[in-house]
Amino acid sequence: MVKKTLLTLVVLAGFAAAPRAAIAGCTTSLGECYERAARIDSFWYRWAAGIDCELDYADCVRRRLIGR
Amino acid sequence: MTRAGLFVLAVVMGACRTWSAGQAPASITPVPLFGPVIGAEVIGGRADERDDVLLLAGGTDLVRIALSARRAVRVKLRLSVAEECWNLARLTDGSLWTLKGRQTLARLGSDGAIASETLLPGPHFGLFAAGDRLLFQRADFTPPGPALVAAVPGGTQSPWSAIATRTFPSLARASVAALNMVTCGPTDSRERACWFPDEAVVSLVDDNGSTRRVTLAGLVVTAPEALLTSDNPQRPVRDAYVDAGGGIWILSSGASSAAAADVPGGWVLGRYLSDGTSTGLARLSSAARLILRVDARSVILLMSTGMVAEVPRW
Repeated sequence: MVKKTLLTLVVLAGFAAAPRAAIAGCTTSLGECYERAARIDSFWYRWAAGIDCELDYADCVRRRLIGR
Repeated sequence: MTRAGLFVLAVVMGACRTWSAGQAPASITPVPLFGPVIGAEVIGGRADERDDVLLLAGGTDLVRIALSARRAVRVKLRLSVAEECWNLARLTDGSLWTLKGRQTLARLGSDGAIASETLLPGPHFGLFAAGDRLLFQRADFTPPGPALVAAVPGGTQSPWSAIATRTFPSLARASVAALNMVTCGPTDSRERACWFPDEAVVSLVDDNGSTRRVTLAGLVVTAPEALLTSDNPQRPVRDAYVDAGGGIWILSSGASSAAAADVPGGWVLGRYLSDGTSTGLARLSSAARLILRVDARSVILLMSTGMVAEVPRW
């Protein structure tokens, strides 16, 4: 029960940290990525996976925002 | 007889004078030269090599556009499955570089081969060139800080220019990182223009990093939040080219018509003097993606159709 509650909190925290308004496909991917990261047991691996999610998001937005 | 001659001269001069010298026409129709040279794929990088323009298409292909010969050649980069590159940087020694993935600096051969690879100290967002040095944008999620660092290939990175990443208190850090991505454009002068995607401002920077910030009047600016929500973001500066005389040519999204809202590209071409004084904005009859070259006579554009086209300069 505690683990489930913590997992829910982490997922919610991930969505709260997600861009409030962002390119739809990129944001959806970010949300899904945060959700996968939140399921990782190890704190440090979970933290690293969260960073990877943000880098993926930046890659995604870069194509639309900077790609010419 | 003299009066008749003067009348004919006046009529001829009136017909030739389509706009005031030095001022932009209200609208302008690009004249196709050749192509199409590229499809609807993402253009991830650009570098100039004498009369040729090199484009990184779709992260996997190198497209060489020979402007004088009026043709284009495409080669596939020799990458492993799922590998992609971003940005192109050509140094004064002629070497061509790209970012492979997030953390690898790769030197490209003209045949698309990877000539060498260097692991970088952390992930990076961008790569450009300044003389004999590469300009890197690190994937930094903690602004403010230097937006770009410079290093010779394999050397130690040090801050370059006065361009600093910005804070956006109301946005999450991934969005802030995206808005802090810098693009640097081509130059025929000693300064190049670098810009953020949401600002109608360019930073003019010379090879040594000396920086001037120039505000560009008349461009449509979209709120950062709105910029991030759009599938076809309206960017005040889509491309910036500094010509041999120091003039700054800007391709801006502008306000597209409802019928063309889904067409990616810029609808406005503007020219500014080196100090930022506007000489007018011209509405393009069709959208353009890049400014390929500016010479004494014309501005050569890569159109959204993939065609290379030209418009007369002013």
